[in-house]
Amino acid sequence: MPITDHTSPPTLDTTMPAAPSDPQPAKPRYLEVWGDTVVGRDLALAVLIGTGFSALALFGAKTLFGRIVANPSLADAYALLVGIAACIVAGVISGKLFAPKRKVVVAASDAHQVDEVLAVLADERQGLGHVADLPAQTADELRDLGLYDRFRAAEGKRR
Amino acid sequence: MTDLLTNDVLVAIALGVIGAVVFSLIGLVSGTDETATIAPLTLLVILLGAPPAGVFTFFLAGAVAKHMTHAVPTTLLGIPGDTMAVPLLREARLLRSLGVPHIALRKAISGAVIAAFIAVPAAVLFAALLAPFGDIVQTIAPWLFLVAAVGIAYASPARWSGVAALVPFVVLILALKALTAGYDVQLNISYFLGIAVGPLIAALFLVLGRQSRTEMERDEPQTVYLAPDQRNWKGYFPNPFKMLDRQQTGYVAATATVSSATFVFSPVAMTVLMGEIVGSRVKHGYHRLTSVLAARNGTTESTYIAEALIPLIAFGLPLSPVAAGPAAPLFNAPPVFTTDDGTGNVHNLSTELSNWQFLGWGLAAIAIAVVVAYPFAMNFAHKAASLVVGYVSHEAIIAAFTGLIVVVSLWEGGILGLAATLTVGLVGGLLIRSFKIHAGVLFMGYYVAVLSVPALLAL
Repeated sequence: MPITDHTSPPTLDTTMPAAPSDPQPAKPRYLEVWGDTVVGRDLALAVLIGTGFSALALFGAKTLFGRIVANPSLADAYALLVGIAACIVAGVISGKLFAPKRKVVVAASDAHQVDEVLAVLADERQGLGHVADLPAQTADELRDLGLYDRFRAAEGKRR
Repeated sequence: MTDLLTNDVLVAIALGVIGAVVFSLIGLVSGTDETATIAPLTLLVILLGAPPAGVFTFFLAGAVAKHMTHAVPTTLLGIPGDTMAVPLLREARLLRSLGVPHIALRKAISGAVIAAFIAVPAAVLFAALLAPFGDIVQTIAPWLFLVAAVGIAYASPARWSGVAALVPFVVLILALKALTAGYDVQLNISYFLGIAVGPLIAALFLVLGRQSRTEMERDEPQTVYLAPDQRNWKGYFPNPFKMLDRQQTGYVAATATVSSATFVFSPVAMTVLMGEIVGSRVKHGYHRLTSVLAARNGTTESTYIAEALIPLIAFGLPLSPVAAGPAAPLFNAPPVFTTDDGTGNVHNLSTELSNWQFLGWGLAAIAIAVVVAYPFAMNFAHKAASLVVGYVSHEAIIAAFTGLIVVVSLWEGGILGLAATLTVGLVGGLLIRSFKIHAGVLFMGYYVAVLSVPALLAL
């Protein structure tokens, strides 16, 4: 397994991953599975916990309810419910054991980005349009957001 | 009798609330596909013996709530909350770059609220108009499913290769059915589950192989850009009509009505199309972004509601992409619900509820979803998004889902059930991965195997 050590706790409000820098040519530490990044060792353990714990719970519940509940299909349904509850518990346990592997960056917009959006909108077939054409409610909304003058200035430039 | 009735009513309301709460939370987790989450949980509720009205409110309140909170990761993180949120991404990102992600969120979920309330009566009305043709539709169902399967496969990015790939997939289902029959095991849920979570099963198999793992390796963890918190309105329950101007409300109402009638088309395609139509009519750039976003998210609600309701009410057969995917258990969840077993007997949610019950419970489910999800998304979006990305690891989600796969398939068919789910999941997941078809195509393949193939062989 090309899997290295455990990763950082949630790194909210930071711009860098709290990963230790490896002096050696580092092997890739992360795997992209089902749309997000994980660490192989944690993934393997999570799958073991998820499948093992829920299967045990299902069979345990099946045996138990098979003895104490008279109606067999009801006993079966209860066993399923216990099994599902075990899945959620397995998820919670894995959540406690394994921290997320994500870089979270809190990013505000800057003036430069606003200009880019204005350019994108102006390039659309309908163009940027005129603030004068806006319904009153939306014009007010744009004023509250502090964007009204930006839009008006941009439409002047492009005429 | 009266006791029983009130009891069922209470259970239906309670299940609606549970569905709305559970799927409001699931909606916050980006990438949680509707079919993979709504279908298995609805199935559970059915198998646990919920009354039909409760099954319906759980499903509908869940789907409607999810399509509100899915706007949270989409607008605040720029990552689509689920499959239906993908068409929202462009407008959401542009508004984020303008520094107003909170506006994107408000417009999107307010559009959803208005569209959902319009879609239920509209869908029931359209279904009532179509119902006289229900008997004809049921007689020719095996052929309709064949045509629908080819149509849906061709409409996917895979085009004809998707149609071609369906053939071996149908053979696989037939083979597994024959295999399990040899041991007196009848599986249904295991196939659906396998298809729904196929991409996860395939990914877990691929991780084991050295070659395939190399392709999945990343040097960096995924970067998530969270928009800063901005909340500049007062109160707890905002008025959705005040979040949209009159013109935008009109666009949402119009697109919701239109998309309620077009129940046979892909819901993602309808969402894109409705947005394009609105976009071509709005002159100002900012107004266009917000109007398109409101109309698109409204359509994610209305097209889902109609695609589930119209086939249920008019035909009793899962003849739409949503009915064949996330809503599949409402039609087929043996031993409780069965769709046409080849002898023309339909016994599923469509035979359990009347049109008026569909209308009444539909509106109730939406009211429940709105009360739960709308203020939650409006008030706690930022906090919820940062908690999810910061504290809920993908490993935890995978642990829960692999547990679900094992529990449900073992429960239905023991080791054979698990084997069938893994087989269908691996093959289906690989088809989805490499042919870019979606799970709905494979669900149709399942119906072709159980309905069309027997009819073909009887010719």
